[in-house]
Amino acid sequence: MTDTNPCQRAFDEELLSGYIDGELSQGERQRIEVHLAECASCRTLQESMRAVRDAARSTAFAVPTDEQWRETARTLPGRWSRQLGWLFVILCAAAGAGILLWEAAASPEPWWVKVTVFGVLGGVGLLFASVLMDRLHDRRHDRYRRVHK
Amino acid sequence: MTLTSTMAPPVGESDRELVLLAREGDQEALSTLTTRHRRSAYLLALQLMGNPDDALDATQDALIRFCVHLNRFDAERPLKPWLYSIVRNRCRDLLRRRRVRRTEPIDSDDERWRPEIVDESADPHGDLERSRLRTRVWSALGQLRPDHREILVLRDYQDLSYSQISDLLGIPQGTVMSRLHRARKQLASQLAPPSAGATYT
Repeated sequence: MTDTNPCQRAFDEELLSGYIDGELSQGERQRIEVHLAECASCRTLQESMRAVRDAARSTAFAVPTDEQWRETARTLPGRWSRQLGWLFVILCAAAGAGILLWEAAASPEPWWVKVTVFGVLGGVGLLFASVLMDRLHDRRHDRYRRVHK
Repeated sequence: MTLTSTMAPPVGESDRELVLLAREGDQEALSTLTTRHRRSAYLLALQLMGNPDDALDATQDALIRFCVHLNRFDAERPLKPWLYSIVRNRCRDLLRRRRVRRTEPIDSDDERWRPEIVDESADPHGDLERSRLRTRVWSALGQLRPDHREILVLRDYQDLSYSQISDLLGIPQGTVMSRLHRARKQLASQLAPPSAGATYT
């Protein structure tokens, strides 16, 4: 970040936000006020940030009506059953692949049949594992990871 | 849709009483609890996602998780921060899933951000300039990095204290202040007219 505020050495600039939000101690607040009284640049920055905050705080949004809440609730079973459906498909496919591999290994089929079966199922399994690992990696390294449930 | 501001006063029995009743299987108490808080949960989701449809989905999912995990909640603590953390995490999951599907970089602009959901006619005194500023701030918010957008939403739209934000995000209060300041400077810089020369970032 390139900071063009010429007063950045006068005090820790982020205290301006603490000042706007009323989060500073009395001593810090007085220090900021003394500085703002003599520094037009910091005053301008403080006023622009305060204007943004005031605009945000007074913003009105539309919220759903009771009917919209009911309508969304009605779609939930479908969404959840779809997720459950995918889970069952994956579990059954994994179980089926395991059984097929076991049978192929124990069967008297020629070697090239066994190689084909192992190749196809092994490839699908590796692809699935790579997607799963990507997802897990993404979850572990997500900077908003903390879950307070 | 009906218009509202962010905060609404609770009515009737306390959250603590409702939580205890809901845990004992009182469906009416659970319904009252979710109905009471769904509005503020939706507004947080809307402000994080910038899209009413996604916000409604995220809120419904979050409320279900809220009900499912109610037994884990300490009824002696305030309920709202806990609900907010569920909503925030649900929104984060949905945004991340969307980015994975579209192979978008994490800091890209969000094309689903909708500036028109801010109501310019909501100012009863007809202060058109302030109304426009509200819309411009909201539009610029959609262009911020997700972590900057999030902290501005929690402080400036949801009016949470630094201490509450610190608990919610799991970061020190000093980090809250510095991140918030960077986000505000970036936002102020985006809102400044090009000729003004007030570039802070």
